[in-house]
Amino acid sequence: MFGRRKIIRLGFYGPPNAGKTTLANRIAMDWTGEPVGKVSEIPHETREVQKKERVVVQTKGKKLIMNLLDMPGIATKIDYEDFLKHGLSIDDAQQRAKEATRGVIEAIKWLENVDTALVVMDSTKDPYTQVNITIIGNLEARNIPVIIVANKVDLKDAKPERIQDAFPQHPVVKVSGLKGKNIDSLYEAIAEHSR
Amino acid sequence: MPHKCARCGKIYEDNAPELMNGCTCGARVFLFLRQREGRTKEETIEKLKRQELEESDLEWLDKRLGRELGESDKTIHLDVENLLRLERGKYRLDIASLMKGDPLVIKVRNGVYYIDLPYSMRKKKQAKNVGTSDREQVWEIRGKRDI
Repeated sequence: MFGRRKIIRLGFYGPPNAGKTTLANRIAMDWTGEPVGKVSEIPHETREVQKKERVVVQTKGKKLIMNLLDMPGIATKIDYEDFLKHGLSIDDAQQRAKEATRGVIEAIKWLENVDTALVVMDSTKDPYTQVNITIIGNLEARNIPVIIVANKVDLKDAKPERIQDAFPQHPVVKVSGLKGKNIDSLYEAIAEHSR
Repeated sequence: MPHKCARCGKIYEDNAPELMNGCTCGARVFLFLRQREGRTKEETIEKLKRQELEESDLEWLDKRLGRELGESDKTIHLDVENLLRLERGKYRLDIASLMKGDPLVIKVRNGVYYIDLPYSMRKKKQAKNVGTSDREQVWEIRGKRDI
């Protein structure tokens, strides 16, 4: 009656360090000139939901208007000792762990406000993880369209076909958020599969 | 008779000002501890303090969850809680339970739980308020809440 919703609320989900923020930054920088958030090699850099609203993307004659919602990485275990290796003090590492834990809960709560989910995975890593399976299973149960992003294909050890084999029921787009490789295919997938 | 803080477990004697003003951890709920027969007040307090130190939270966790805790990526299914605070800076989350929409139940240590009661209500409010400004507002309220 009111026509289709014009703005796609696009949630970036996935484990920590899969490249969610790098990918979100790539899209936001290309179309707005501003990044979504800070990236780091230390896991759980994104500990709050980062937003970039009304990002207008033109792809093959179609116009996509998206709210990019970059989520904290989802993990089942958060241990401050993992951050110590990266040179953080004990206090800073423990604080980061607390914020990261809160971030996971927030990311899950935000599932209710997402129209389409990009599940971002690191192509150099084994995709058969319980976190990936749980996220995708839950998105399916909620009837939220899923697009799997096999990220980091620029790396030598990348095996994006493993991701395709693991989740054949969903479209898989092979990209490099860092190098901007194949991002157009991602826009096409978003245009095709979003509701 | 001693009183024990329901949140952090700190023991206070009768008439301690903290019983009126709140524990150093901020909690205001205390458990009244019965004194065993034949034991002085001081002995009871000492015994309880020793007990606190000896009871390791990790011990019972290890017994219950066994190998699962060691495997970082494995999803764990916890009991009534869906967030376990093992120690400062170490957490385990029951992702499946949280994703299912169960209320947030945090187990701080054996026998002490926090339940986020307004969570379900906020969830409904958030679902209705799909506008940007409302979402930001909800996030700000949530952002201030501590684990």
